[in-house]
Amino acid sequence: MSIYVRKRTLPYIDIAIPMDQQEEKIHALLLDNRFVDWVMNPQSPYAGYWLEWAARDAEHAWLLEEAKHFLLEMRLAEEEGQQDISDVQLEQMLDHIREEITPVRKKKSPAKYWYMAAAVVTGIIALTTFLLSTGENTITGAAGKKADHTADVIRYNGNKEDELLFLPDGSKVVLAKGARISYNLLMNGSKREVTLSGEAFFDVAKNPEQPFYIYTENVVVKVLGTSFKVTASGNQESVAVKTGKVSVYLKGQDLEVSAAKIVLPQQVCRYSGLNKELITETFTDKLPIAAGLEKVSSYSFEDAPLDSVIKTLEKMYAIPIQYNADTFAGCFITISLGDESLEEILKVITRTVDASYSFSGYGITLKGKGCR
Amino acid sequence: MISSEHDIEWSRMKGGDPAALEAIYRAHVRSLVRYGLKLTHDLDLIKDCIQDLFLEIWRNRENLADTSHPKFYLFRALRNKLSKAHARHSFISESELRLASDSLLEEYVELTITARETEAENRQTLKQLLYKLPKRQQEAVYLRFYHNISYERIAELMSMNYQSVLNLMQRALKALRKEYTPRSKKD
Repeated sequence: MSIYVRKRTLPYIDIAIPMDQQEEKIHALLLDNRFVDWVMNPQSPYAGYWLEWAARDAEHAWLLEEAKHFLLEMRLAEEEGQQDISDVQLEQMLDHIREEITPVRKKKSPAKYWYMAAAVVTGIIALTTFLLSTGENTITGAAGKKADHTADVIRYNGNKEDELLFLPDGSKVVLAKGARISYNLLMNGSKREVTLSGEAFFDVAKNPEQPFYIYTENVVVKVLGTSFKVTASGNQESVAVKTGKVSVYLKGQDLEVSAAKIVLPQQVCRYSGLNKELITETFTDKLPIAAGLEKVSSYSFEDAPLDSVIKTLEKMYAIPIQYNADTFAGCFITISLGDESLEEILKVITRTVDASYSFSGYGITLKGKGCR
Repeated sequence: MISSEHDIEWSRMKGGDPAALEAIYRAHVRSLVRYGLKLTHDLDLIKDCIQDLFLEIWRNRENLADTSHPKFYLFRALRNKLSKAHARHSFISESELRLASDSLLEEYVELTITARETEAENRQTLKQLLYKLPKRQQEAVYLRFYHNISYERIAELMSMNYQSVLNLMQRALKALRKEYTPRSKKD
């Protein structure tokens, strides 16, 4: 058999070609390094060449369009068709690599804790899973069903110490070393939902309209009231309450219908992997991770440039904020960040500097005329 | 193309910065997994090899050459690893590769698909066809159309000569275009 290959020579100059020749020409384009580079590389040195080539003749322009379209379709097919690997799995691999390259290796303690706690205004929750995986992709059934998200934020604590994070709803989380949490960028759905692996301590902002759910490998925790404190401990996963109450479900249970374990103060709800059930007991331990919340709970600015406030916000919430730095250069603001929801904070800022804000899947945009 | 940022990361990693290793990992791991899946279906093996690969890079960081193409370096290293790990199983050994690259076997898969009209169907068809291609064709298509790696480089990576890579791609294109309806047919 013969294979037609056109190598490094220009494609064609002739016009009015039959179908199979047309096909050959498209092949020739697709087999040309310079053509593929032009389609894929925004800085391609061949851009001028191809534009000139297309301008030479209508047939060329059509061939170029057709080949380009096919190439882009191919890329989409590749992306959509690929058996995929979850972010969680990729992070697990990175965990293993990290463990190997870190000189001092620590053994994981056999029992870890999840905590939930609440002040009058906020509930504090801390959760630990013994397993590092959250099974994000294995969520099944009603209890595990999550709303479709536009953009998920994944935050991971790669430091040696516990790390305090702020969630856009005003909740705070202390992430233990190696713990990971993911949530919707704006957390503005009908539920507030986070997926957790590792050990974490939550201080959940009160908002009965938007119940707060924590998903782990095997269980779903629903935060019910405002005054509760929960600890989870055990061989696999568990939740223990100090004050207040939470509901714990097995993954796959229907949250509305099935009976959850209501976990009350001084009780721990343990997940048994063996029997796939939740067992409730009493507990008396302390919650060392809770200390992480006492370190910094807010950032105060006094007559500070807007720019520095925005930069802090971006870091706190891991969310990009777009605005024109020159326009707002003359703006100074006194504000305390960390106790309100992100949206409340934005309202205060935009009121103060007479601006407006908008959300998108990519972050926040501030618009205004500045303060001069 | 590969951005220069990665070259900087590569140098920083060589200098012993674990954060740079992590950055390189994050920048390339998904592509590496996908590439691995063009070579074998064994995802666990791919994961193991990628972990090993990054550990080896870290341990040998002082002896590593500077590269302006970390992605290409990583692809090649992963391919070698998978090839060694899987030599006796479904992965095509290097000697087989050389044999195959010189042969002119028709190896694209025939698929009968009824006529389709919409673009979505076109893409659906492409998706099916793409994964029915022989592994080596999938590999070449992935490297060329997805990562913009030149045929010269692909030849190097796959231990084939340049012409054989073009032949491989030509066969892949034939199979893919056969069932693909061009958007607007010219008369």
